[in-house]
Amino acid sequence: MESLRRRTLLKVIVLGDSGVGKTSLMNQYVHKKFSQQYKATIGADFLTKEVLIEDRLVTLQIWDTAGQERFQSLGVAFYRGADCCVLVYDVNAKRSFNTLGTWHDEFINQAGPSDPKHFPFILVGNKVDQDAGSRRVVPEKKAKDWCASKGNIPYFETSAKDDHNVDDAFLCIAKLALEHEHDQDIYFKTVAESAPKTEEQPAGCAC
Amino acid sequence: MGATRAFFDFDHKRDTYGFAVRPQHLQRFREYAKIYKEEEDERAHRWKDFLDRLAESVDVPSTASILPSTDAAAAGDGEGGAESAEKGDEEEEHETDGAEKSNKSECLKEVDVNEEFRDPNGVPEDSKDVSGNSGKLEDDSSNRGAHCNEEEEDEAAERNAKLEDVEEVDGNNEFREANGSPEDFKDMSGSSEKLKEDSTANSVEFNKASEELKEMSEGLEQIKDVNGGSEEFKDQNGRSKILREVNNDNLEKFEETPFGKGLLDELEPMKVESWKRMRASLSVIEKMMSSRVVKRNDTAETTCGKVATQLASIEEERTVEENHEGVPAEESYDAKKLDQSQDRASSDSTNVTFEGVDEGSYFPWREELESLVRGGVPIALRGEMWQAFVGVGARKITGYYKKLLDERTEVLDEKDLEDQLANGQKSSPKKLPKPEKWKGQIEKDLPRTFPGHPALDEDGRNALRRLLTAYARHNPSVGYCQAMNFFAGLFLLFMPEENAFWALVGIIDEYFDGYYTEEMIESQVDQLVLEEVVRERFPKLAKHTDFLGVQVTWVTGPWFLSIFINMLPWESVLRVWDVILFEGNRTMLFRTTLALLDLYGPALVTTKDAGDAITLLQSLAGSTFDSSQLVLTACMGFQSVKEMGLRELRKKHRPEIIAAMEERSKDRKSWKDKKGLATKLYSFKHDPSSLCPQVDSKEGADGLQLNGDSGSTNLENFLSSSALESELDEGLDLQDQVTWLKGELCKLLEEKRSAELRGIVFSFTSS
Repeated sequence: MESLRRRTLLKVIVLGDSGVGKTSLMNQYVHKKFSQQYKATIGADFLTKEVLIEDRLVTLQIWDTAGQERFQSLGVAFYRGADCCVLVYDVNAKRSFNTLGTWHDEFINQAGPSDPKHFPFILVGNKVDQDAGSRRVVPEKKAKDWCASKGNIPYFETSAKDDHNVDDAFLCIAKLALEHEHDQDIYFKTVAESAPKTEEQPAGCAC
Repeated sequence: MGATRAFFDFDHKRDTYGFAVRPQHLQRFREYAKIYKEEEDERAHRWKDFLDRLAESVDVPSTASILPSTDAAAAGDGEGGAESAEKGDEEEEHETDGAEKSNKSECLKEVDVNEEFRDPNGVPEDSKDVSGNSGKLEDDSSNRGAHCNEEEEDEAAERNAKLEDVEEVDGNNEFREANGSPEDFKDMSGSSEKLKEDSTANSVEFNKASEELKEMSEGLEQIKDVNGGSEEFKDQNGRSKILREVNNDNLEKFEETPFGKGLLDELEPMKVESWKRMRASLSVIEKMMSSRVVKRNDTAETTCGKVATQLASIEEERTVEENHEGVPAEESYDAKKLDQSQDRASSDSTNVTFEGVDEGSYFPWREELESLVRGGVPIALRGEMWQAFVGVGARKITGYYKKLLDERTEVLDEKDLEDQLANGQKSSPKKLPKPEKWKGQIEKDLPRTFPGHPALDEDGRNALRRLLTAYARHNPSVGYCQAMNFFAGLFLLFMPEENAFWALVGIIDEYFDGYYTEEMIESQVDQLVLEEVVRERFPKLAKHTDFLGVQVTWVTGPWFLSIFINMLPWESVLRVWDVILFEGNRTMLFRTTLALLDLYGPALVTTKDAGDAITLLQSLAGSTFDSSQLVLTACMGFQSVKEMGLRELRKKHRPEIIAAMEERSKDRKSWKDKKGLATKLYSFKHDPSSLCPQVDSKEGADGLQLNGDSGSTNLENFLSSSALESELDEGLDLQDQVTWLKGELCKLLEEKRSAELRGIVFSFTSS
């Protein structure tokens, strides 16, 4: 089966402020583990995960990045060739939400995707478990509005600690990335006549 | 920092240094623990021999003159008793909670001593011995001891309970030992905290501590009169007496803890007299290293014109510092400088590395030392040696650290003023909000620095916070950069807080100058340099990674930035750090990386996709337990990679990085322009967050959405830039379009190439 298709490699970049739980999300997804004791990520870290999407074996290459702003200058090398970008914020930290725009733009700017408008992003609001949500400062509505403003990017609320919604989020990521990769192929042929597309909801996601 | 606490975390498997061992590496770690132990034995011999000879070659000063410097030993400053005394005073002031801490550590130590005896040999006699000895203690010290007794017992009970737990869970003696050792360290270091007043020490210094105790006990007895028997000294004396007894009787058991049985048996004869000699040798080594500190300052001065992007700040910063310091510090620093200018005169042509001939004749033993360092610094000496290598003593400005911490606002204001006056440049507006920025990031990272490490309890974290805060204030162009938390944490394990600060200053300001600044230029430059070197050295590997679409720098970037911390097993990290700190530059980063690629290249070329290649390299690096092989391959196999050559390559690549950086900041400003262009070409909708009404109207009915909230920062940027005007400018627009299209073409070509490569991989795998 596998030999009939080529193994699809998808590159996923995880971005967001320091301490929002990028590493935890990734580890929960890949290793099904959560630890309170993660080390700060320096530069970038990398994990892979194989998923089966509609008969297709897909390898996600997930790049976990350092959250401190200055590490962005090292981003070019990592961002390039990405198939999907996951923006993560902490629903209990306003600032991590406010900086999303910067992360978004910086990614587009540095990764330089051929079609920035349709490049697949996904937003993840993490740590919804914290204090049973009592410390939450970013309402779901606000996050969804933001997503809508960015061209209807899918939104997930997760808890890396409780493994809430993590798989779903990454599955959506994989699908988006796969679609994007597919679009890219078409894009090659139709680049000259590429017309404005109608508003579209990313397909295949429960969002 | 008070690296002591009553609680020891057994949840995670930890090594000699108290660092967690990854579960997947436990088995190999155990295998290598034996090898490490053997190596440590051998190393201890070789170093002892070397230091003995070094001491003989130097005029061994009289006891009285050695000991003051011993007292200030942690300061790595063997230069004159007056200053040491000063330092001591200051330290006392500084550590107002010192007494409390000492109390605690004392208790812990005693608990532990007892426990140690009870456990292995079942020697109640020894315990009695100890208590018998404590009778000899000076009053205040025994008072303290009594004071602690109750607590002590509770703690002992608690700990025993824990030990049992572990035993049950584990059923592995060897393992328990490994786990137990950091605790012993910690406790020992607790006592050494008291001993050397400014040694807040730490778990890893256990051996050092015990050695010093032996030495000091003897030495202090002799010079008690000389020193006028300060309380502190008496206290130390009493304490060390006990410990010496303890050590004599139980040396074997005590010292074997790091790596298992009988680790440092051979170190036993090293005590007392030889330690005095060692102290003398140490100060000679320090002297050599310190001369480098000054030398490098000069170099920085002379080369700063050439290398504009390098901070060139050592002199500048120092100047600023001194001004803050007020007169005394300035004087002392200058005096030191003058002293050392003599050394410098003999060997000023070479900097950074000791490749010069002059030094060879001046310090004929330098080569031998180098080879010893490559073989690894013994655990017992590591703290002292590292300080000597970085030149902590020569850097240290009395009171500076405290001042940074105490007079925060004043310092900042002053500094701003100074900067404006002196430099008339730099980003003074940025400066004020910055401390807050550091603060948040530092707070976030404190619990993420060696999480669960026994030494990083509340006291440890506080020390780490102070250290990082002080550094951020000391060098605002760096402020705080993630990774520094690990460096600072590591130094704190090996030396007292203030000295750790100066060590951090040494590496960040000099060794890694320009690495951790906001732009991280040098760090990016090094990766380009590395890439070139890798291509040259490993053409086959390079070809393969190209084929896979992998950049080696994806993996090596984090290696460099973290100086291998968390990337290699700890023993290897420390061995690499030994060399880096000794050499005083980043050559060893390159050599180590090349060695790793040399070791793992053959495996890497068998990988079939990018993910596998990266994962493999990461995990192989993470299991590089053979630290000797690594360091020797690095130093011998890649001897021809030299600092001078690297500098040339850096010079060559730096412009690219700077250009890219400028491009990026321009991009950020003219972000709107590009979007406008893209819209024209592809008629896609704008990213609404960064919109402003004017653009909106331009885009017409293209389905725009406005989001005033999240886009506010962008909006500000946008409004402040001249993007609107330029967008109206037809000519510029066309030009930009050309640039943009060129860029796009490149990207497409690249993508095509990688698609082709994937196709090839596919045909390989499917056939």
